Amino acid sequence: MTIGLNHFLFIGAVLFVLGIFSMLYRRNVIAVLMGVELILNAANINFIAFSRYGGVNISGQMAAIFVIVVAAGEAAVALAIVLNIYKNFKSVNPAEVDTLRD
Amino acid sequence: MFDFIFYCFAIITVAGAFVTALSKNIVYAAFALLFTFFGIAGLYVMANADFLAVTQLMIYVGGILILLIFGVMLTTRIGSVDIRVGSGSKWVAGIMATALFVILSVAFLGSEATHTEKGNDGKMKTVTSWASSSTMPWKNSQWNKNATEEVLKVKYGSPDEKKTNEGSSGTSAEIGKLFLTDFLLPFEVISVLLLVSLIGATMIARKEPTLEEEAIAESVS
Repeated sequence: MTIGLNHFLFIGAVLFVLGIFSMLYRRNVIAVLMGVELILNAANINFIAFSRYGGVNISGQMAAIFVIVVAAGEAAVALAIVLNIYKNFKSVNPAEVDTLRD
Repeated sequence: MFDFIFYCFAIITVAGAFVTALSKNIVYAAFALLFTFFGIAGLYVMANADFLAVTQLMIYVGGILILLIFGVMLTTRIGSVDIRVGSGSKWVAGIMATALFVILSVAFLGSEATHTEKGNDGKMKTVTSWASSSTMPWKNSQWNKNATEEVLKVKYGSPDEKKTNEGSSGTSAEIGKLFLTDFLLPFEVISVLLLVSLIGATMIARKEPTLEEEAIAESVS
């Protein structure tokens, strides 16, 4: 069985699902951010797979580059917010940051 | 040989992702994420995206992962590994993730299975046309080898660049050309976005000066 589009899509699906699981399950904001990075990488794998096998030519790689840039900006801003949350709440558990709740 | 290397990278990627999602220790999760990023870079190389593989290594491994590890070290007290889990959250997350995985697998495995059959309803027909052999002829090996080069040659005819060797020409030149022609506006917009996000991150993360420090600064200046 030769390597085809479905192999890449399968790996992308596994990474996406693990990222979703990480976002739902983790009790640490940094680990949730790692889940977000996994999801973005899954999207990138799909872009690359379709650019190679799916008739979407090199435009798929361009889209993946933009995704990487957005991921870099997102990581920077999110970690700044996490540091501020830790400074104010002394915790990185997303369930404990509930000041606005009654 | 290609298959063997692909499966090696795939196993590295998926195992790293599993440890990242399931490890109790956040530092182990960060290091497993390193292996995942390396494996994904290898997969990019397998898919003829060499520039993107280098970009992946430089930005993800060299930038984002370092940033995440800094975040871990700045926010986690060493020695107190927090393993508290909300009640039932693990099961909810696991069931939802498994269901989503089943849906995704059925979606793309079924699409290839049905493209030889007849789609009766309209929904099936879109799937079959999406995966029809005319738009996705990845089984045709000749098309498979130099699809990108041929499409680029048709679209941006460059007679001086003869790509005789298949697969080893690299994609950096094409990506550079596309950045300055078709993707010029997204390129500029994404640069502005990056600048704004970096300025915003430093603004958010900086230490607020207290009133006494502001008074001292004013008296000095």
